[in-house]
Amino acid sequence: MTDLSHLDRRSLLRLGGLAAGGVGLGLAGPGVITPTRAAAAEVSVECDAGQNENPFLWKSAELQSHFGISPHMVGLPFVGQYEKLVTDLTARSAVYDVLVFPPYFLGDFVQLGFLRELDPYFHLLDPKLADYLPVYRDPVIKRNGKTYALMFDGDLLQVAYRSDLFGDPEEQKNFKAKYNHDLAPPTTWDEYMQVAEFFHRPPKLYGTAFYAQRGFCYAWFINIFAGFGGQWFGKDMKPAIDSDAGVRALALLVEMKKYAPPNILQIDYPTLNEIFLNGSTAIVVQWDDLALKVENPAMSKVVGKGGFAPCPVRSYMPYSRVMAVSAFSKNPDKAYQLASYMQQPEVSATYVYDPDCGQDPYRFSQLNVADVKNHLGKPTMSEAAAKSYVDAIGAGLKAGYPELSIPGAPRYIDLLDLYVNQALAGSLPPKAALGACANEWESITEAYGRKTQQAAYDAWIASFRAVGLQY
Amino acid sequence: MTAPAFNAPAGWPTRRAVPGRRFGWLLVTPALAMFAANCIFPLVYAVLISFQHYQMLIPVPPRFAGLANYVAIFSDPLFWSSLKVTLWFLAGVIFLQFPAGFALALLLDRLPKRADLAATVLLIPTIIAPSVVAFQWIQLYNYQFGPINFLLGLAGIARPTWTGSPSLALPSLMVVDFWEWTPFIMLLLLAGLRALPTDIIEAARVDGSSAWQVTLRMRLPLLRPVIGIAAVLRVLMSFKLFDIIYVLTAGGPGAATENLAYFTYIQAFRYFNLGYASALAILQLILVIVLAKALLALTRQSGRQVLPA
Amino acid sequence: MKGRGFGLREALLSLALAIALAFFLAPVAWMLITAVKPPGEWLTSPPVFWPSHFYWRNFSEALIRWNGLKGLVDSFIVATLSTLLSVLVGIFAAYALARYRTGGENLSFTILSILFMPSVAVGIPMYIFWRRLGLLDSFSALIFQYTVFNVPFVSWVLKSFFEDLNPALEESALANGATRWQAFVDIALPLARPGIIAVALLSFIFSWNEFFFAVILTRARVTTLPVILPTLMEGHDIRWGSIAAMATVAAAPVVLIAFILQRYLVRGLSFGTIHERD
Repeated sequence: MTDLSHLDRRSLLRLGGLAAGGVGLGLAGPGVITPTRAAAAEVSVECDAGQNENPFLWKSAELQSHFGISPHMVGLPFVGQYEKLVTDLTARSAVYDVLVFPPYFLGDFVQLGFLRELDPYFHLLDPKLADYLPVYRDPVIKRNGKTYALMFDGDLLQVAYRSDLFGDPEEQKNFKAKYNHDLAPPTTWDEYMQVAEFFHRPPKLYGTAFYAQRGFCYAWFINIFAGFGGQWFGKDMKPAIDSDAGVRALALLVEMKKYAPPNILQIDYPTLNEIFLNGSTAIVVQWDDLALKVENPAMSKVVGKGGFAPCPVRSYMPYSRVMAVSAFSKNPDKAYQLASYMQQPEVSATYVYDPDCGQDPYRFSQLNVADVKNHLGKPTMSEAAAKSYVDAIGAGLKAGYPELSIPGAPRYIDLLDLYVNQALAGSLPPKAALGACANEWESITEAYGRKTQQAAYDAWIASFRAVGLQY
Repeated sequence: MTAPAFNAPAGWPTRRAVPGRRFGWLLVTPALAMFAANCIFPLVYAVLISFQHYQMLIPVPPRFAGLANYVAIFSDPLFWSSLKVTLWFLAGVIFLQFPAGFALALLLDRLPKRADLAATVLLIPTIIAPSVVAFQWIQLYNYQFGPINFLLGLAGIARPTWTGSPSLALPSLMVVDFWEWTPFIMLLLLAGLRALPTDIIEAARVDGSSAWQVTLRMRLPLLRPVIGIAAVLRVLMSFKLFDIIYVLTAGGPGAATENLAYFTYIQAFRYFNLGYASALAILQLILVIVLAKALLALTRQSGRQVLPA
Repeated sequence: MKGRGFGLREALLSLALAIALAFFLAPVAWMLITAVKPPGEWLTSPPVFWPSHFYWRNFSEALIRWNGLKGLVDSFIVATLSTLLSVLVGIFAAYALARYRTGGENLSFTILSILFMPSVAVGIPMYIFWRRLGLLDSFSALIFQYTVFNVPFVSWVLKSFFEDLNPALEESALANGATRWQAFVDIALPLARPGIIAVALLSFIFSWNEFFFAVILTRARVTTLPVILPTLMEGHDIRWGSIAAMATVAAAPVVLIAFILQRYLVRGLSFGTIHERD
């Protein structure tokens, strides 16, 4: 054996020692390598990563001075947020204090005991719920009469159209000649299709576009479905998604593809924004925060050319965000204070129209044209555009169609999205797609227990009717 | 201490006392422990759960379901379509990636000067994480702004919508998979080529056989074990293909790019339909074992060494 | 062999190589270019193939705002430690399987079958397991999982490697009174060095790139690079430049290591070197 072999044996021993040390380090890792958490004043806020975290960061100075709170953001990826929250909360993880998520998770989360009731904490900082728009007050944030969440972002689908095209006398003349009524923001879905058809002049201008990718295409379907009088469920909790209204709505959405760009199936939220902002579509249905981007010269090529209107007949309210306090938080008082502070009228007014965070209004006090116009030094809208925008929101919410929020909602919705997408992709005709979806919904209802689901659904519907929403 | 230790023949374990037996088992213990932890425990768990109605999100205790989950799977059209997608990816591996990988290996074998460097450079797609790579391919496949469509447009070819097309989405992903893993196959096959005994091959060439004949008749058969290893590895990885689907298409349009792994993921981690998902996993395991055994049997050689002893 | 010098065949082969290089490198080039493009040039028609100026802010955004730096550290810790462990375990198993035929083909297949388990099937019970131990979102969990996944590959490749190694040296050492351990460590291991380095490199790469288990088992304390990347795909205004910068940051270390160790790659996977046979 040469000297070389000795070296190798030693190095093997070194290797072994290193490995052992590595295992030890790995086990001790979290304590050694990551910095220890600060004292009780740190409140961990879970939110989907990106622009929606911004308001918390912007307000951290005030949170520190008013309450001694320093917010620590945990950004989860948008896709997969539900999975992560469920896995963490079933594990009773104390990682999060405040949770920010869409209200359609609420049904499951409340049922599984993930959230604290907030009413006992109101005395710490009055949330001023009277200022909430009715549709958000009880129906969205309460379950069984108890408050489980506070609003953070009130989403709404809205029509955005090219006011320059609509205002052009030549276009108006031609439109009237062809369709026998004035060119104006559509009040029915047939009118919407007419507008889309009229302005469909590829490749420079497309009639319309919509979110057709897997993920949220269901929302655009429900938007139309609501306008045709559709309901999520009928008697005995049987799905009503495959009713005549449903088949008609889905068929209309599929037909809408022909007035849209050829890559319609790739279109998602940012792409839909982009398609309108670069001037290549005449009318779209999109989340209402598109309006804030239209007037921003850094993002938009159609500054001054945006008009806004509520969706025909009814406007769907997909997604949104609420803030809740985790049942496993070690710091519920401070967590509540953070959440309540962020949604105070004067605090939320500072960011609800900020194009850099994508939040949308949910309070009466926020429906303030002056706030929209003079947004704190950032590019703002003209008076006319701001008024049109605020009016559209008000009108839209009056005829708002709520997003399903009973236990199992994420699953019902995800399946609906899959089948709507299959219809859009042409793999299934609308009737078959909705029929298959209804079957899947039935097995979910069975699994959860038909009676309990029925009770939850009825209670939810009742709460909307109580605030005057038609259902 | 005693007679030479290593003359145990290849193949089946022998009953006779092989010297150093204990030493051998000692060495193998850590690996076996890992097998137990990673396979036996999850396997038992998965099998048990697959016979139950167990939905983690529903406050109903799990109850025995017999074969209900398996029956449900076989009558689920989404299962069959996910199986179809999985098999398409597999076909891409076997009929596109392997021939291309072999061609590249032969190519580099003929250009010995820069072979190592070229191999490493060509390996970059494999070195970069699939999920990382997928983000770049979103841009590349973009209908309006992507460079691929731009170049196609210049050439006057109609620009497809790639991941937005029900018919092209799956091929689009197969291209990404091809781009990612062909170099890996090339590496294994090139290494295999290098390890081939040169004397027999030289003899054949001197004998008058053309280079092509030599490759086909002599080298390819000798490579069977290496091809076997590469094939099994790639087939296993292909079944688990997940990252690029997750990033690029979320299984869409419709369910066109949803393979078995992605379908199982949604059932398990989005719906928490654990009984059903476990049954899916067991079925997948059975399928994979059958395929792996078949591949290994096909590529086994009768003697381990080809040389005269 | 090629006494003819630079002929037509050489030219054709070089052309083929060039085409292959172009195909396999083009997306990487696109990634690098995008990483230094300023925001206005990310999504344009026609696409920008060379940025007007180098916008390094993408990198600072990726590293700081999106925690790319932490990602680098976390990925490095996880990948290094799991590689060390899996190579260790794999070498032991490979030697036993090759020299002592321990358990025969069946044991060999069994170890390989670690890879057969569908990720989801392993994911659920392992998630519960780590949760019970209170080790979710810890380095230990990921390191253990990756070690386990790499062991089959390491042991299988090295098993073939050891099988091709001429046992004569070890046999003579044993005959001369060395222990089995000494024969293993002092004789066989050094000869297996290229193979060990090659599988270590590949294991490192697989660990560095792993996505599924990283997503399931980690949250905020441990964030490896593949997990951080999807968070950049927030709903609004996708920062393509930062994504590309982060991708570059995620890829660079591994590519660098691969280049440093390149001469071991092919050689290490060639089971046995030619001159060992006689």
